[in-house]
Amino acid sequence: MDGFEEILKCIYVEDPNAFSVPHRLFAYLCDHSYEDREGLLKIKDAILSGVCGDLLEMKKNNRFDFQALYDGRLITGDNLDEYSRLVRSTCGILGFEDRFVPPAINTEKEEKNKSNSKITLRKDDGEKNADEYYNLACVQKTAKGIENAELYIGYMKKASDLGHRSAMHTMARFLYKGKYVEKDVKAAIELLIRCVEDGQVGCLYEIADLYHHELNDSDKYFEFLKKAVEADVKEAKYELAMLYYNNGLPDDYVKAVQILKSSVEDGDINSMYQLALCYRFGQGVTMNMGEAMELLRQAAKNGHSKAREIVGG
Amino acid sequence: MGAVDYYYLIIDVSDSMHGNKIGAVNDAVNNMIFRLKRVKMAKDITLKVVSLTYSDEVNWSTPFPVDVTSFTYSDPAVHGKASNMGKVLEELDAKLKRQAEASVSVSTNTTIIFFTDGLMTDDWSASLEKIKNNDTFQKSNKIAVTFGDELSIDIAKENLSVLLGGEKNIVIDNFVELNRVIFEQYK
Repeated sequence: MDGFEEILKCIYVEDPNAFSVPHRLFAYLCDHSYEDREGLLKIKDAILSGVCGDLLEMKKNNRFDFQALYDGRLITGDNLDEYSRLVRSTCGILGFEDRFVPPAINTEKEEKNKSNSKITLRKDDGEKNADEYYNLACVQKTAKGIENAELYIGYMKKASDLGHRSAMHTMARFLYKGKYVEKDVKAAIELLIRCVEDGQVGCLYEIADLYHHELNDSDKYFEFLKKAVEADVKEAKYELAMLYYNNGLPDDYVKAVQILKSSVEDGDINSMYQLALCYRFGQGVTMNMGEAMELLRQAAKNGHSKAREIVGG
Repeated sequence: MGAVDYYYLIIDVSDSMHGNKIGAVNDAVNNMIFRLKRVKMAKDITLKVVSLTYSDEVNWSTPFPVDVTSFTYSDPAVHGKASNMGKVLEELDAKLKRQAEASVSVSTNTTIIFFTDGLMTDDWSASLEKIKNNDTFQKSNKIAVTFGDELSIDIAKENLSVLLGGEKNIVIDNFVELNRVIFEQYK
């Protein structure tokens, strides 16, 4: 479950209320990390046991018994490790910095933090770091929505300007959707480029998509799609392969096949089908009916409707 | 003018439907549309179809249900990291009201089919309460098609029972059963 904490953070920013309904939280996790089926099966019981609900309840009542959670005293069975891991992740997300300090001390610090954040909300002294601004922005998110949109976006922008990873990505999305701020696709792309420089290579595909759909710039679209594939962004592979394939030149077929092969290894069913066609017609690869049929069977087995029409089943 | 049969196909395209699931749904829908077209030709019944795909946003295939012969289904791909059933029910409520207004002089049968893994990320209870007051929704034949996946089946059963008002019309992994439920009436 590498990156699990990042996913929880995303969910918390999008919909903090989901943390109090285990089914909803689990549904979000399935949408966010559908490829990690094994991981999802492992954490399912822990999530449904209400770990996040427990924590929110504790936060509400100012009664923090993290040690009990951490020790797994609130859950029985084989999922103690996963549960503990979830607790550790979730504590961080919910802003419990001294997560395993004995309850009395922790409560006192939480109260102190609360009063500090109230002061900051009234008076912004401009001395905070990126994490603090980001947390202040998150404070504005309540079960009923954004409490004060101006403050929320102000803090989010400051966190983004200071290089906070999640904030930069969030601000980029707001900019290209025109949500809370005026729509500015170019500014969004600049931010996404910063995200890429910060190691979020998945943003390369988002940039390509913006050039394609928002700015209608096919050269840049191609350039960033290519970069995304070079950075092994799975979502970009089939799209780039099809750009090469549809160009129809012998060299382009070869490039398409190379990318499709890599995408097939990632388990993409559209790539399986397309690569099968390449083998069937000898495009970019030596004609091989056996290989084509094997790929079609593989695609059909995994749910590709056109492959199923061909091989049956 | 005879009765008009309306079909609303509600298709979950959130990322958790990735791979086999959306593939199976696309197969089932293509098969169903093919059979509905044959029914229309054989029995001269008016069949109208519309589909709605949903994840973090919802999209109708056409603004209104269209005759099955003009309906095209273009195998949607998954996209989106949320499954907002509340938004679906709000949209469906509005569409069913429009349908009722537009067909006051003819008798209608409405079938609503949900294709989903049953995982829902939003709080859809208020939208459900609202649509329950919709006369067309109340009288419609509601079916849910889901998957016997250990990852989601228990949650799916719980959510879909609430959505349909019981477990009777939840079809799990069995598209033959889905066809039986739909096409028995046209025999």
